[in-house]
Amino acid sequence: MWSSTIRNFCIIAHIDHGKSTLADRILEATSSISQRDMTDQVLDSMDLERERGITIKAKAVRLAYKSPDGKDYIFNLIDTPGHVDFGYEVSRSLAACEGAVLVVDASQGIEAQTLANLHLAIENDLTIIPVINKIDLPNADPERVMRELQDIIGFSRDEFIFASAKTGQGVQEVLEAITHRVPPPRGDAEAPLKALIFDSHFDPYRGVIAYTRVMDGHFTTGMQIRLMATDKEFEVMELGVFKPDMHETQSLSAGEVGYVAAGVKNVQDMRVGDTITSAKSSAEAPLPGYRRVRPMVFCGLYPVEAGQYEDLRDALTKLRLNDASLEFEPETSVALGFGFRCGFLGLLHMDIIQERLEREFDLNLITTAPSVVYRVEKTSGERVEIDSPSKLPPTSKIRAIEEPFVEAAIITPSDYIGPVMELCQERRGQYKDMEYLSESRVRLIYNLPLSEILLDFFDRLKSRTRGYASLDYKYIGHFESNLVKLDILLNDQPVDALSCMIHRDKAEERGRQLVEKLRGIIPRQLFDVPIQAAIGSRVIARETVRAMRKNVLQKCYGGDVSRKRKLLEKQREGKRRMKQLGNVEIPQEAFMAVLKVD
Amino acid sequence: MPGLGLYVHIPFCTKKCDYCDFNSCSMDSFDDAREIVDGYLEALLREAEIQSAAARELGAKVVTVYLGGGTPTCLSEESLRLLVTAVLRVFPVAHNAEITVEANPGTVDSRKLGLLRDIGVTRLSIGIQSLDDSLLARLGRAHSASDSIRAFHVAREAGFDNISVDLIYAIPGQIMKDWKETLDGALEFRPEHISTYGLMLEEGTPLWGDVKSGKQAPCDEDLEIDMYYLAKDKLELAGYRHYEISNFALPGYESRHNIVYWRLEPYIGLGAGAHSYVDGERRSNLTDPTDYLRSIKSSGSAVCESEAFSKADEMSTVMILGLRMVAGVSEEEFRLRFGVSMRDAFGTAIEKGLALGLLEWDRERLRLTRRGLMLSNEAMGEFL
Repeated sequence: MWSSTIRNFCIIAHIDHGKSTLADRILEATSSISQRDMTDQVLDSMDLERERGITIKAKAVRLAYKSPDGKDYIFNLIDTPGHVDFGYEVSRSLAACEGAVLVVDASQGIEAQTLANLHLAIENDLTIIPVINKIDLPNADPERVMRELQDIIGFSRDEFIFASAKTGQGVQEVLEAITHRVPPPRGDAEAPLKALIFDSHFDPYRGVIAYTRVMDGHFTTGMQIRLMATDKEFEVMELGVFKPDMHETQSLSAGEVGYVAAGVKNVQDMRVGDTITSAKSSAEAPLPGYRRVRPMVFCGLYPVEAGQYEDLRDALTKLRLNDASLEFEPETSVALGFGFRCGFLGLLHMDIIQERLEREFDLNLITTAPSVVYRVEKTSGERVEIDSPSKLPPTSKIRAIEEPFVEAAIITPSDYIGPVMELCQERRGQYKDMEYLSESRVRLIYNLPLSEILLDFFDRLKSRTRGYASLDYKYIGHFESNLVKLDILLNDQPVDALSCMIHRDKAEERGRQLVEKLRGIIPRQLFDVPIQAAIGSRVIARETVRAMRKNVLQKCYGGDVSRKRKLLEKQREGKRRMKQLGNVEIPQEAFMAVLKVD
Repeated sequence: MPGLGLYVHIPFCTKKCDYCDFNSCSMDSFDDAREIVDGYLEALLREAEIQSAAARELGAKVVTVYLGGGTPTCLSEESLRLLVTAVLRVFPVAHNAEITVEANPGTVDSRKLGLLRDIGVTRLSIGIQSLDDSLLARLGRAHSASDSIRAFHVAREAGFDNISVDLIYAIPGQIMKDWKETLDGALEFRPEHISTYGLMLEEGTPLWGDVKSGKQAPCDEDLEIDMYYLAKDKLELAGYRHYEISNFALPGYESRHNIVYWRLEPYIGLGAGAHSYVDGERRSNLTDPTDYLRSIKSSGSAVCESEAFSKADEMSTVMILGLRMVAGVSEEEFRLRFGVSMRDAFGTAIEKGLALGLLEWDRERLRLTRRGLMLSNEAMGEFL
C-alpha cells in the first residue's frame, strides 16, 4: 500500500447546505457504486437519517479516483454526524483525516455548528478546502459568503471553489483539490500499531465492527490487539474496508481507513476515541483526545402497558449494542409504574432512540420530560449527582445545587441581535462576546444553563429570527444556581413524573403555565380535579378541571343495540389509552406538557 | 315467552331535516318516487309474510307494533291502509296490542288520521320538536308551530286518546326561555307521552356543517344540561312520570314498544335498516331502500349483519339498556332470567357506579341517580 496516494478527508457542512449531494457526486465520479445501487444520499443509510436529512452516525467509504494527472488515488471519505449532540464523534472523525471539505451554502453563509467544527478541524491541523455550494440558486451570493469566510478564517481568494453539487459544477475541481491540496497521511507502517476508533457498530455475526484509522504500524488478521483505554485484549478476526459495503482485506497499514472485527461482544469495550495497539509490542502512549462521553440528558421511558416492560428492556439492550453513549437503568415511578431512566447525549439523540423504540420494536411509550444532571451538596457535606427531580434530597438537607452550563454560539443576521439577546436573557444567559462575521451577520456567545436549552430554546431561537439563526454549544462545567423542585399535584396527590427542577425566580410563572396547560389536557372526570403546582408544601398555582356533567346517548335508535355497544366500547378504548393515577385518568401527552409551555 | 315487538320502517320523508342522520330519504330525491315507494311496500309485505311464519313458530304474540321512519304518514292513505292491515293480518297480534304510527305535522289531516284510527292504530307519535318557528326553521323542519298544534287537535278529534309528542332541545341559538315556552305549550295539549331529546349534531348533516363553519353557535353544554333537568322537573310536576332517560308519560301511557327494546325482549324489524333480536340473535337489514327491496325480491331476506349473543353479551346488554329506564333493573328479574345474581355478574361495575354517585339501589332495583341520568354512558361502560 502506497500511503502517498491516500487522501483521508471529511466534509463539514450545515444541514441542507449540500453535504450529502456533494458526497453522492464524489461517489459517482469515483464510480465506487454502480448507478444501479445508487440511491440518493448513500451515506445516510438509516431511514430516520433520510427523513431528518441529517447524518446521525459517522460512516466511511473508500473510493478509487483516477486523476487527470494520470495517477490512481485512494480517497477515504469519512462522514461526520451533523448535530451538536454528537460533537465528540465529530472530533474523532476529524482526527482521522488530513483534510476537510468545508461546504457553505452560497445563499446562507456559515452556520454556528459548521464554524465550531471548522475551528476543530483547524486545531487538528486539517487542510481546509472551502467550497461555496448552490451557486446556481437565484438568491446565491457567493462573493458575500466568500468574504465572510475570508474574514473569519483568513482563506485566500484562490482557495475557494464555487460549486453546485446539484448540477455537478465545480465537482471536478473539488476532486482535484482533495488530490493535490490534502497531504498524504504520514505514519510509519513498521512502528508499533496505533489506530484510532472513530465509530463502531454491532454486527450479530462478527461482533463489534470498529471503524478505524491506522496512524502507525499495521494490522494483520490473527494478531492480538489491546484497547489502550479499556485495557482489554482481543484477537483480530477480520479486517476490511468500506466500498461502501464491507470488503475483507488481509491487512490495514498506516494511513489507511477500514474496519476491525475481533469478536467483541460489547461496544463499551471498543469505545470511540480509544486507541488500538498491538498486545505484543504496544505503543508507548495512546493517541490524544480520548474521553468517555457521558450522557447529558436524562428522561424516563415507560411502557404504556405494563406488560411491555420486558420488551422495552430487550429493545434498549439491543440499541445499546450499537450505541455506547446510551445509558439506562430501571426506575420506578408512582405514577407510571416500572420503566427505565435513560441517558442521552442530547435531545436529538433522545428523540431518535425513542422513535426507534416505537418504530423498530413496536413499543408504545410514555416519555417524561428531559432532565439534566444536577450536583447536589448536602448539608452533611456529601455530594450527589441526580439525573431526575424525584431523586432530589429533602430541601432541608440541601446546601447547594449545581447545574450544567454550556457555552452557546449563535450566528444570526444582525437584524435579530435584539430578539436573540432577549431570549438568552430570559433563559438566564450570561453574555460573553459578540463578533461581526460580516456587516450583516453576527456571532453571539452566551453561557447558558443546559436545562434552558432543553426547553424548546432552539424552536424559540428559530422563530425569533425567522429561521435564520444557528446554534452550537459545548459543556463548560457545573455551576451553582438557585434551583427548586416544582411539584405537580393532581387531585391532591403529587405526580412524580411531572416534577421538574426550575430556577426559583421562574418557578411561580412556570407553575402557573403548567397547571393551565394541564387543565387543557386532562379531560373532565366524574368529579372536580384540582391541579396544583407546589414548591415543597407551598402551593403556588391552582386550576380545576370541572367535573363532567354529561355523557349520554339520548336516543336508542329503533332497537339498534350494536350502535350503543360500539359507542361504549369506543369510550372504553379511549380510557384504556389513559394512565390511571389514583382515580384520575390522564392522557399520555400530559407527561410531555412540561416540555412545552408558552 | 314474553310478547314480541314488531317494528316497520318507512324510510321516506317529504323532506329530510337538517339535523337528521336517520335512515331516511326525501321522496324528492327520486325521479320515480311513486315506483320506488310501491316497490318498497311490496317488499315490506313479502318480508312480513316470511317473518310472520318465524313469529308463529316461536309461538309468541305480537304485543306492540311501531311504524317508524322516516315519516310513515307521508305515504298515501291507500298505501297506509294496505300496509297496516296486511301487517295486522299476517302477524299473530294480541288483541290489546299497542299500535303506534309516527306522524309529522304537515303530513296529516283528519281523513288520514281517521283512517289510521279506523284500521286499528292505537297510538300516535307526533314530531313537534319545537313550538318556535325560527327554531323549527333552523332545524329545517317542513312545518310551523301552528301546523303542530293543528295536527294535535285533529288527532284528538280523530279519536286518538294516546298521543306522544317529540320535543328537541339544545338547538343552536335556543335559550332557556324558548325551551320553557315549548314545554309549557306542549303541556297545554296534555299529551299522554312526551319525549325530549337533546339535539345531537351528527357529522355530515347540514346543521352540523353550519356549526362547524361557525354559522351557528352550538348550545353550551351547561345550558343543555340545565334544559334537561328543567324538562324533568317541569314534567314531573305536571304529573308525568320520568320513566326513561329521554321519555315521560302519564301513568299507564309508557311506550310499551320501547320498553321491549329496553328490556331486551324479542322484536322483529321489517324494512330497510331495521333491527331484530330474536332467540338471542341480533340481525339488521340492508339500510339502502333500493338494496333492500332488491334483496327481498331475490332471496326473501335483506339481513346484512347478524350476531349471536353469548350469555355474557345478553347480560351486559340487559344492564346497559335496562339502566336507561329510570326505575332501573330488578335484581330479582335479572336472577330469574340468567340464573345468576346481578351483584355476582357485575360487582365491580356496580360498586364503581355507586361510589361515583351514578348508580343507586332502590330496594332491589339498580338504577341511575338523578345526576347519573346525564352521565349514563360512564356508568354503562363498566358493564361491557
